[in-house]
Amino acid sequence: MTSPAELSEAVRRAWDAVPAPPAEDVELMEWGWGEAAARAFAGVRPVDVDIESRGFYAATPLLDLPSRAAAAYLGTYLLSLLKGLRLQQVSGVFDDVLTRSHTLTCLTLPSFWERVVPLLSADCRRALVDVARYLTTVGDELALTGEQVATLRSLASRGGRGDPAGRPRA
Amino acid sequence: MAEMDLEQRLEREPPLPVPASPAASSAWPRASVLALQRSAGNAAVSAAMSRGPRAVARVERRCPCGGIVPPGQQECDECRRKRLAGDAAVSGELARIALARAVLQRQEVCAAVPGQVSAAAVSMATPAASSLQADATYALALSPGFVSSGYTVPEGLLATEALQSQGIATAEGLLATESVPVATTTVVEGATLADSLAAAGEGLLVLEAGGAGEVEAATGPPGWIVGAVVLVAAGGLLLTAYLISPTKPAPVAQPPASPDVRALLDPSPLTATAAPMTAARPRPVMPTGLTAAEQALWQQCADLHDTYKNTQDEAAAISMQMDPLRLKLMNNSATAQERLDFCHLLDQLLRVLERLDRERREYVTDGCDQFDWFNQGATRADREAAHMGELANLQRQIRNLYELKRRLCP
Repeated sequence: MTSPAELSEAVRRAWDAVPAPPAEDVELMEWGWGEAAARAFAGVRPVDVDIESRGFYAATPLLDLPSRAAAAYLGTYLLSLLKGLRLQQVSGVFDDVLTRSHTLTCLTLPSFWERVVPLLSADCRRALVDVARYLTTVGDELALTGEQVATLRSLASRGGRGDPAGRPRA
Repeated sequence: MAEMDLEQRLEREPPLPVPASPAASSAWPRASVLALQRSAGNAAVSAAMSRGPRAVARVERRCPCGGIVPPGQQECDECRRKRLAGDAAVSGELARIALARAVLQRQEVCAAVPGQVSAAAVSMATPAASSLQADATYALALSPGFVSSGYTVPEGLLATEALQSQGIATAEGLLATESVPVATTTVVEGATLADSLAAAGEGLLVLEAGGAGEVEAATGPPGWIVGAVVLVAAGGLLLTAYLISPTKPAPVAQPPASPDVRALLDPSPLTATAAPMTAARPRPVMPTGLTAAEQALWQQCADLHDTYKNTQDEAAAISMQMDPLRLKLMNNSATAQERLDFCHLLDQLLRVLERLDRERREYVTDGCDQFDWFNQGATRADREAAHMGELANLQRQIRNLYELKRRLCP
């Protein structure tokens, strides 16, 4: 897959089976990112979150939510990132600055891959790895540093395998 | 002392606002001005006193949808129909737009520059928030409209674009729900924060005087209406405030313990199913065993957190405005003007994001990552690393966007 559109489709398919995280996982969402964000996420499946809603635009929760919720909503943020990339490739600019920064932070943080990615299903993990690999090819568009590209490539090659805690998967 | 000064000044000041109808004449209630001074500060009062709303129209018991309200009823059939239809469109989004009042007061951001509102912009002006405090006989509905930056509200816009009746119907609908009689209807328009404070001042005062704690529980931190005003200005939106004037003076100095603010209503279908407004919403709890200095820092950090999360919300509001233009850009169907509009919004977004960057940096440098707000169990070093990484990414993306924007935007 070599385009954001194809990858979006793959992410959507992979995360389609992922249910909304339990309410207790997102109970601090409102305090953290506001009422609109709480509405956008709470009780909403990752693929059903409106990534053009104000609540979504305002929320950067993946590093703060419990791991299973972060694993679930990682799919949502991947969809947004890919959509922003599509806009950039078509128009020359992007506007998902905040959520893009957030998603790239997560994807280039080894601790995030250790904590969250192992909770993903095989399908989700495969889609994530495909996205991560693609991102390494568009590092310039995303203003990634060489170090970030290398980290991303390395993390993707490991694919988040292994879950020492044996926790359930999103 | 400040009150005395203000009262003395009031004796010399001309009455505000100038009514369109002599039958409905009234100056600003002194209690409201005093309370505005208390709650929003001297600057807001000064602005209100010196400018006043841009346009004011008053009607008494006239049905905003045409004709007269039948005796004993709160609205005519046409208004009822519109209200019921319109309630579904009312969004509760503005309820969240809550910046600390201290922050708000220094953000008078919408410069009054002559400009025009396009038909497309006006078509996006729909009621966005409505509130009612049952014991104060006020209703306030805010309707933001999408306009490009650098804008002055044309006088009479509300009437000419039929927004006036929408807003009045919404507000009167709220009052009718609570069986609150309508004495007069006041419509005001304002483009700047000062204008909006002046225009919406009475409603703000009622909400704030009625119990900040309950308002906070119901809608977000205190000052949320002010926040809405600020966001509207910052986002280049047109604010229209629909205010049902009181039949009795607003309770100005009421302590924030009044339980009646639970009646603050929002007919949004989005919030109608939300938790009861009086229900406690989960918030981080200060850990036990902190020293006095740590407790002070915890509170300071909670405030910093609120500030920067509200800035994120401000950015989100701008992003939402960009949606229709973004779609056209993606479809390659944007006109030159629409590309320009998009560029203006990008400018606004970038300014807000730069502020966000500063606020987040302050949060980190103040040592706020020592607190585990979300009980993640991560170490302070982990949190700092994550936040610093996110800051670095944000800065890179801001620079990236500036660079790309230079190519797209003239």
